[in-house]
Amino acid sequence: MKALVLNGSENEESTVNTVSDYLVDFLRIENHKVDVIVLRDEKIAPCLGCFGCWLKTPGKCVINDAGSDLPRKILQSNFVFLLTPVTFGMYSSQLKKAIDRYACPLLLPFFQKINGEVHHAIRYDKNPKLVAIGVLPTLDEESENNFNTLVSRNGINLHTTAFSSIVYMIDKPDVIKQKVISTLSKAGVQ
Amino acid sequence: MMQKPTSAALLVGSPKGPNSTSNSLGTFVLDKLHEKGIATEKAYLCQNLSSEEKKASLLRLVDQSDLIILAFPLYVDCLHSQAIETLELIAEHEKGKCQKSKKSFAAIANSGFPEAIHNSKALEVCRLFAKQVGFDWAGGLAMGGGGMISGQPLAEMGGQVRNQTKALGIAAEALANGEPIPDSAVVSMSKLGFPRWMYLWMGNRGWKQQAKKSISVKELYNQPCKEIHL
Repeated sequence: MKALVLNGSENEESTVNTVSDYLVDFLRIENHKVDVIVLRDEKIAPCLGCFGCWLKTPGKCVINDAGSDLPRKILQSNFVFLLTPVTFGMYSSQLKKAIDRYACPLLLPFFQKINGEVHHAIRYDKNPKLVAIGVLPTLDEESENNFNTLVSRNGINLHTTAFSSIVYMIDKPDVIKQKVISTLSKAGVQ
Repeated sequence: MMQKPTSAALLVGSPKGPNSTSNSLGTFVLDKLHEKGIATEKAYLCQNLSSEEKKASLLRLVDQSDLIILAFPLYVDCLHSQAIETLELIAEHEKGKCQKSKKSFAAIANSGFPEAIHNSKALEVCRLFAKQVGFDWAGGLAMGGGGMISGQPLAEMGGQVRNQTKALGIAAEALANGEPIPDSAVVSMSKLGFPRWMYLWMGNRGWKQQAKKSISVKELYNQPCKEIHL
């Protein structure tokens, strides 16, 4: 199995990096091929909202930087892991910048109804499974609920199955490790 | 309890800046507030995050305003990364303050899908932001079918945006009086001005027509990563 890890941590001290370390260790021990991108180390410009990836160079972003390579990396993977601090019940701006850049090239501009709601049609046969792990300072039910729903909505929009879980900064290392393993098990990573 | 504002700032959270639906919607409200004697100012987030100087100027605008309105388009079920970066920036700035002034925060979301419900998670993000930084949450409006506006002034669009102009008018009235956006505005804002099937038909046809300017319709379905796709 191939996995792509998008690390949306804000700095080197972030608990998101601890989650990433446990996740990558586990995946490598299980002989999975893992590619990790620490987004704050990459030059990725924000999406311009120009629809160039639909209308000028379909399936490819018109901006030439590390962000335009993300759709290729995603399509080469069976699983995409989104690791992020949960800010106001959503992803960090760092991670969202990457998501904004890769989502549209994976989709077609045309509308399609899914469960009565309108979404964009998928460009390729399928997209990899999505697994998001968010980090919160402490228990915050409202932020947690919004984050989990947001991830599941992303799954619908990207025509894939999505899984999410929350880790708290106050969690002990063993607890974080256990949460990572249980998320992988929930997502069907063997 | 919200306060009657004397100054209001519109933050346009679309990467398209002045040519965006967010600008059209937010400006409509801002103009109404201005008519009521409230000092108004506008900032395009896509132009205000590129340097420390510009970020400082954006934060000054927030500091000087009693009411902050964020107008934004939906990007992958949420706010665009630049709008999120702005909220992170404001939150960090507010955290460092010893004495906080009373401020209200409202949001106007639009999505290219016809259903307004797609915006609900993004509006919840705005509410959580306000709660976390200590601003009074003045409420949020959401509309689907945002693609039909694309930067046009609402006043020039006539009947197709009648529900939205009504909603934004009600919202502006309430915000000017220091009250939260009423439910009647939320309901009106969410209503498409024409049948959903027509929006879908026009949208799908529109993509093909736009594509024809530079490529063929067949090319819209290109799969540049097909060879490596698992």
